[in-house]
Amino acid sequence: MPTNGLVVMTPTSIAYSGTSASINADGSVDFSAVTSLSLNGVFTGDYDNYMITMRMEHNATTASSYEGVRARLRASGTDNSTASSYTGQFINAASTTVSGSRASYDFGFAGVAAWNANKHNGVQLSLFGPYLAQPTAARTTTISAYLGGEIYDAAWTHNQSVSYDGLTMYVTAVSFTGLLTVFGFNQ
Amino acid sequence: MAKNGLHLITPTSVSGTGLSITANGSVTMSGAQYMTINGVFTGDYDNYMIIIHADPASLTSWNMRVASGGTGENGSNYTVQSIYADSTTVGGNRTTTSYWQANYMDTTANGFIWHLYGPYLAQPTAMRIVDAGSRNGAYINDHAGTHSLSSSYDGLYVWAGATYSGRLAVYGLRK
Repeated sequence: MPTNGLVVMTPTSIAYSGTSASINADGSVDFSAVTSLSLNGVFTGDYDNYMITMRMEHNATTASSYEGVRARLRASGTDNSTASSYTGQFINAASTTVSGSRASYDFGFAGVAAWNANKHNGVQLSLFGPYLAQPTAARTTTISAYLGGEIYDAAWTHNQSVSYDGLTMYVTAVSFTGLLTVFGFNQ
Repeated sequence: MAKNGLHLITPTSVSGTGLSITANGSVTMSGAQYMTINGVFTGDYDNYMIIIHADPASLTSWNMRVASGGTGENGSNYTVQSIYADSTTVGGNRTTTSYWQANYMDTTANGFIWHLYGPYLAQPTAMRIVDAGSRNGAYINDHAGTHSLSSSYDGLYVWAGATYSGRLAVYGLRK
């Protein structure tokens, strides 16, 4: 019998700031109007690589609101916020304009949430080796609802050789709403 | 009843220094440089997803060929279109040669997902790579490629310009 390739990683617990968040019976996580959402116990020694699929909307009230959802890796309930330890390379395609940028911060990136009349944004966040005690690589592929449709992808690295079992996502303005599932790639 | 959609595939064999197959079917790489992965494409699946998480001994890139019976197809039949973002520089290029060249990797924090469409079918093959690389801190270097021969392939031949360590896993998408 074939081995299942993708395994749902049900968080051992979650924490949030905002209106509500809960773990569903199938292991996915619903969140509503949160400013931060922490997932604990989703990365383990069973798997090296992970994928998080997420739909979300940004709860702003103007169409110009547009914000990246930030991410920090966490170990035993504590986020790693080491200065400049996360480096992100971005690529953005908006109509006929394509641009890039790179910068280092104390956070990584979970995707972009743009407000657009309650249309959802979609994100796939791939994480390579977060539980391994070595630097982590990550990649987001994003469908932003801004102006109907926009690409805003990021590749990012985190240079700390630390083992992480979780992830925090947060915004600095307003809040975000949606649903996510963490998958481990069987190996 | 729900069915599993993505299956981890165990190679029938691998050849190359520093390679081993785990009990579940992924391939661990330790100081590897050239590897042939055999028997991962079959008539059970049309399309596949491969995940490679590996770090090289020095800055280098991957080279890839489809393979049949343990031999990589080495004609000038591989075309790859790349798009890259290196800080504020965004660009692309297309080449046709005897392999797909993809993904600069620096010595830490690299990973990519490689989609292959129809390698076992006796028709041209398409592929797409979405990567996360650590060159210059972080680097986007994605690729879309084709292989023009209408032949059936059951494996891959993959190599790099330096030795590397990590893991490779091949997944079949149920059809």
